[in-house]
Amino acid sequence: MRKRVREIEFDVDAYTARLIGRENVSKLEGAVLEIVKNAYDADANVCCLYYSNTEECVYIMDNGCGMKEEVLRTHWMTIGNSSKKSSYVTKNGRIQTGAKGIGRFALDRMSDECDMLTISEEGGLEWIVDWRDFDGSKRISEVKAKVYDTDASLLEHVGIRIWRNQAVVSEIEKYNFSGTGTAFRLNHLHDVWDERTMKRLRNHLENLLPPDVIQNFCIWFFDDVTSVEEALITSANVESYDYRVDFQVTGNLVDIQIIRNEFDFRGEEQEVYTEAGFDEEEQAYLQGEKKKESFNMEEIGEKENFIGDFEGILYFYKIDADKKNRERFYYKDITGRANLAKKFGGIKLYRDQFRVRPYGEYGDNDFDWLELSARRNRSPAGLGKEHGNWRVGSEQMLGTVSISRENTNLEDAANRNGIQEGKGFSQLKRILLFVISEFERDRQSVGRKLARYADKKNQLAADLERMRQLAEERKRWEEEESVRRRQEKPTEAKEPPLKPNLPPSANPEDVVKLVSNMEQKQEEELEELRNENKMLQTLATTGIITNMFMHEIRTSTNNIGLELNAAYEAIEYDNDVAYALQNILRAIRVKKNFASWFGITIESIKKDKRKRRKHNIRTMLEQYMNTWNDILDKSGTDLIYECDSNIELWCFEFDVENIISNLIANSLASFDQEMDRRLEKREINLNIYRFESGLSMDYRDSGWGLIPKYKKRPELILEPFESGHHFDGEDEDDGTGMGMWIVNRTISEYNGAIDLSENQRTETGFYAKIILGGRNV
Amino acid sequence: MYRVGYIDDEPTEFEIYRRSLQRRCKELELVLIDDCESKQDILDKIYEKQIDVLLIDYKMVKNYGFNGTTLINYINDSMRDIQCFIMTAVDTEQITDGLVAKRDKYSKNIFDTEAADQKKEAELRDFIQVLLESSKVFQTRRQQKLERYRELLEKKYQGELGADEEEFLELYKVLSSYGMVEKLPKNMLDSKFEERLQRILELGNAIIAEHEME
Repeated sequence: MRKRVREIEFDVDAYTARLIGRENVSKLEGAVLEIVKNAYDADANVCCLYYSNTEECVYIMDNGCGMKEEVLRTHWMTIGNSSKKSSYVTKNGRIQTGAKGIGRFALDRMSDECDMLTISEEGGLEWIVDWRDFDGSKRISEVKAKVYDTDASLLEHVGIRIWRNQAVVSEIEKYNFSGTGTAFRLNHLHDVWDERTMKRLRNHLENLLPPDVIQNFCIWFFDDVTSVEEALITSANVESYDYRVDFQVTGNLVDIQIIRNEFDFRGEEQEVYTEAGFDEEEQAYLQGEKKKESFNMEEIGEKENFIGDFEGILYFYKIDADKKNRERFYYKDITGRANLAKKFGGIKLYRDQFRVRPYGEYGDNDFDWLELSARRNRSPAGLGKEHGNWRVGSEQMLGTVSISRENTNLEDAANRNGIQEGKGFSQLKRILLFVISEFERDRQSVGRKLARYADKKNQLAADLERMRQLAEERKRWEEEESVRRRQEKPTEAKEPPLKPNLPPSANPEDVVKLVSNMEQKQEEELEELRNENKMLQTLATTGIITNMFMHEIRTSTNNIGLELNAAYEAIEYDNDVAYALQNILRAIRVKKNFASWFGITIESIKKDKRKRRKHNIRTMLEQYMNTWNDILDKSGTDLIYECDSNIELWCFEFDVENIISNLIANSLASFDQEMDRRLEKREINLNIYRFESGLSMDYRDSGWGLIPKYKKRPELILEPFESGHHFDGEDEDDGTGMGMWIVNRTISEYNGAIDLSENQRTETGFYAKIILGGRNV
Repeated sequence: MYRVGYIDDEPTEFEIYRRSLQRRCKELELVLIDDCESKQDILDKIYEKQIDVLLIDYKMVKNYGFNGTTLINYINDSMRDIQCFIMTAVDTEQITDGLVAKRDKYSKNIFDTEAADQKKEAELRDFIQVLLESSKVFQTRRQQKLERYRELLEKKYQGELGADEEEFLELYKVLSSYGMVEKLPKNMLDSKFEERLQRILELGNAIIAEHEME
């Protein structure tokens, strides 16, 4: 039976409340950021932070709207309550950045005592708190702050007349501090404010606001000796850059504008443009015209935009370039460039014009929050490399990304340290990586052309040099010879000299032999490397195929086990020999299927396939295609295959097989894709016919076709690690991203070409036209 | 006897599974759900065959156009209580669409006890225990639903169903499909039924009142 009802309030220990605050603002930089944010949110147009070396205290002052007593009581004094939660646009249209109601703990982080004057349109209030009162075993409601009405002005409160740095004071007095605003005096500081701390905080404040964005808000930060120039904080900016990439995400669209500022053709423009093969459009981009690109979410592999609109500017900024590369790639002179990443930071994130720490903060773990370094390690190819993607280094990419509190799924982490991990933040990172890879692609397309041009030029230059030297030697020899002849009397019959008077030289036959030997040796070494490379490609293809058919292979092994076990149980428990025999026969049938799998996988690396010889393609592929036919038939797929009988090609057997295996594996993966409707038919067409001195393969399937990410630019699938992955979930992709890359490499080894353009025109199905050895192998 | 439904687009090993189950647990009967074209067909068959728990193959795109996990999602939208398990030849870790919990995925290999290998035998028996338990839970829940249904049916007759209309219809659908309640005439399921009933009652009352006045 219940008696005597009474209600008991929850309360919290004051020390715990303080701890929560400390947890949230753990670094001095974070505390300063919170205080400047509060000034900005209060519509101030100036915020001063002054450290008095003589008094060892900090003064902070802004000319914002101040706080009324009601705000002070209900918001400022109520932990966790913020006036900015529900309405966050200020009178002057600024979007307020705080909302958690814990920013005021920044003051606790900085000092023990705080004396605040806040003047609103209702008048002035002085608020004094000693944060040490929170120590001990008091409850939070027992800790009191003192509040007085006052008519003191902000400048009087901070005692600006007696500040040591009067040079800066005279600049600050030019601002209007006679009306509303808030001023603090912080005593008993927790940190030593020495030169190092000041430098660290200055660098931090320089990066607090994005450059050229904030109008009408400035920060002064100084001590007793800081000069006026240094005291006014100017946002760190990137003045020189190699590439600038602007991007805007608006609804379903991603717009990218790329500006190339890296190349200087030193007056050889016309020659380079023609010889390296830059068309008119490319030339315009090289002369500074913006390259504009636009994609929708599907095209970049996203289902939808979870986070809303945002934008940013990224800069590519090389720190050094050696002479060889400077000449090869026509880089502009960058002598004396400093590592800007140290001063500017990496890719920084701003929410409503305020820095979201610690992304891009030099020296912090989150400096490389997009994991550009790991990406580069995975793909370390150089800029001019024909195969393999060049990736930017983390210290070469700087920039700002601007989000807003209006973005969804990008909430601040409660500890003021970044954004909450989740699907929004993952998408933000993926979109940024997409923008970066567009820039990388652009830069590498230029780099590859310039590298090819340089190689061509070098070869010619070397030949020319050799010819010039030979000509000079010849000239010298002829002169010497004519002098010698003049010295001899033509009438005198002389004994022929024992040694002919020729310039000393090696026996030409020996030289020819030596060169031939060297060439042979080099050719042998190259051949060995080529073979090794082929072997690796084939092993990779075997891996891809085995992985692709793991389900079928597993099913077959499982079924053999099941049938045998069933036979055992039928005899053991039921004495049913007839049934057991049926099981065994079925197991044998399944075993036979294995032979087909081995034909496609293990057989492909048989030694005789690793020899290059002249093959009749139809004969060569007969057995192989029959095996595929068996396998495809079992998976309910029709293979319509035709091959001309008169195609002869000098090739490795497994090269052609690798191409076909990879294409078929991709088709089967497409057939097995789960979509909103059933696939009408599973059909693969392969038609091989003679083309010039080689062959042409027309390949098509009736699958779902390329995913939207590749529809517009199907050639992307030829790059390594590209795989049909929808980036909208955490699920891993089945593909390795290697299959089509291997196909492409093999094709280029046979001086061939691959045309995927038909995929742009069709909604479903996959199409490829491949030419091998058409222009001599 | 509990009925375990088995769905596979290529059910070549069904008979082995059926015998294996029967041999170890007389209370369970494996029932093949086949000849279906769509998810709805499958759902109808589940009702028709009075299934208590389901074993569903993962890879079914080839013949059905959807995978087992998608099917489970669909079935559970209509039948929240029925327990469905994914059976697969691939590594269960490779099913990463997040539609089915890890504990509800089993390898088809579980039926291969490798000639009475002790460990394998124990694994299969544990699995069978899970099937049995899931079937019992499903039947108990159906029983509970039956009680609730009777309560709501009474309310319906009184014309007091109101906001519980939706729950009533849902219960009716499941329970009538399982033959646990009598089929009601179609017009009784109409939401206007109560209104009409009310009107008839009022009319009746009015007639009685008039009659009494006379």
